[in-house]
Amino acid sequence: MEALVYFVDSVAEAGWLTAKVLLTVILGGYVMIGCAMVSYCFLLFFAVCFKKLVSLLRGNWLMVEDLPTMIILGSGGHTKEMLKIIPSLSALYPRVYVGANTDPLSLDKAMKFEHFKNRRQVELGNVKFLMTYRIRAVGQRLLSVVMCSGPYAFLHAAILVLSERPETIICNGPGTCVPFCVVGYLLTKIRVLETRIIFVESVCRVESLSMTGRILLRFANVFFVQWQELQNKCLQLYPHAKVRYMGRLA
Amino acid sequence: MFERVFVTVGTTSFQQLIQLIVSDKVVDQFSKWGVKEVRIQGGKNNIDRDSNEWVERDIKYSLYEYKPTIDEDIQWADIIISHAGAGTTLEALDQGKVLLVVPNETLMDNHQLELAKKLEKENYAFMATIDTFCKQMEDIDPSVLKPFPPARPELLANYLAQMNIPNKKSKLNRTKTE
Repeated sequence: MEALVYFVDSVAEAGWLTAKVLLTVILGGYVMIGCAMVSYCFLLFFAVCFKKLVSLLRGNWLMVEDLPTMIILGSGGHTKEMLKIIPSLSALYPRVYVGANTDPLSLDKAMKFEHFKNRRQVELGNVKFLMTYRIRAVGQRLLSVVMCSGPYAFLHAAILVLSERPETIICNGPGTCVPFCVVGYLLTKIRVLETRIIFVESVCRVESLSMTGRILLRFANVFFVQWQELQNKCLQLYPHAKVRYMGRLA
Repeated sequence: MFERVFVTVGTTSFQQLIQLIVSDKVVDQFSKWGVKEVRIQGGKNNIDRDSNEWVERDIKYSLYEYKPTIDEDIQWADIIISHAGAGTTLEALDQGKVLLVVPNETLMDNHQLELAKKLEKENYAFMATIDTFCKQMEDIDPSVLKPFPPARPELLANYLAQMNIPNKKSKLNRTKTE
């Protein structure tokens, strides 16, 4: 009997020990990656501030360089709409495409578009394709967004925005664009960057704004909807927001 | 009335629609229309057929899961039966095809319904739900449809130019004048 108890005890203890080690390793890994990302963010932040300071001291001429336009792709329908809008914006080069890491297909489509239609710009190196963390998968709960994917998406967005210093961010409604717009807005508020955020609500939305749209009402400089009804509704519901309607864009 | 039918459900799975399409009632309706060939982009589905191509009452069926682009099939078809996702819907309407949309009501807050309702109200396309599908198929009359106004993405570009969002040209001008 005693032998049995001893055996069970020792097994339980071994199990607990393994669990503790595993937990430490996993948590430690997360914390390490997180810390690295945060510190890299700060590094970039100071670098950008320094550049800004130098340009202010020397007069404005240094700032006249081509800052890119950041185009944020979603998945499926969002990408399709975006690729319909983009061809008319031929003046906005250089550009950076940002796609989610779980959906390489949209970046692929954008790559094909650029290679076939704007070969010259690609050869000049004016087009970049970047991947980022996805903030919310389809159907993911809000709590898990806040706890798991949210911080990483925001940190990575901060890194990308600080390193690319976009002049304009164009997005049309996937969740991926929220961290970029928020970071761009905050950095513009504290005058580190001069980023303009242009949001185009998806064609699907005829009667109500999407979740992303409702969040970005505060952050976007220009907010477009694509149906007259939706504009009327928005003017009633959110009178402070400047919601524009000009016709169907995509 | 229609010879070539294309059925598409996009990247999400929408089994109810696919099962409806291969059901007897709908096949009857197809033969009334004089359909010769039906292509189905079915996504993940559980239709147990031996092969992906079969013939039923002189109608040739072919079924596949996904393709990188379905533009070709949209061009080929006379009528398109589709879920109400924006991508397919707009593509079909831009090409001036007869479109019958069936909103996938299982998706997040049923967001496909808004667009489908709007399109039906403006007579750009026909809408049906899974329950009313067969009845709607009998009532289809392409002469009711109005042409879908084309999208105008250049409006955005014009607006941005007006707003003087600095792009290369305006910047160069600025540096020259200052």
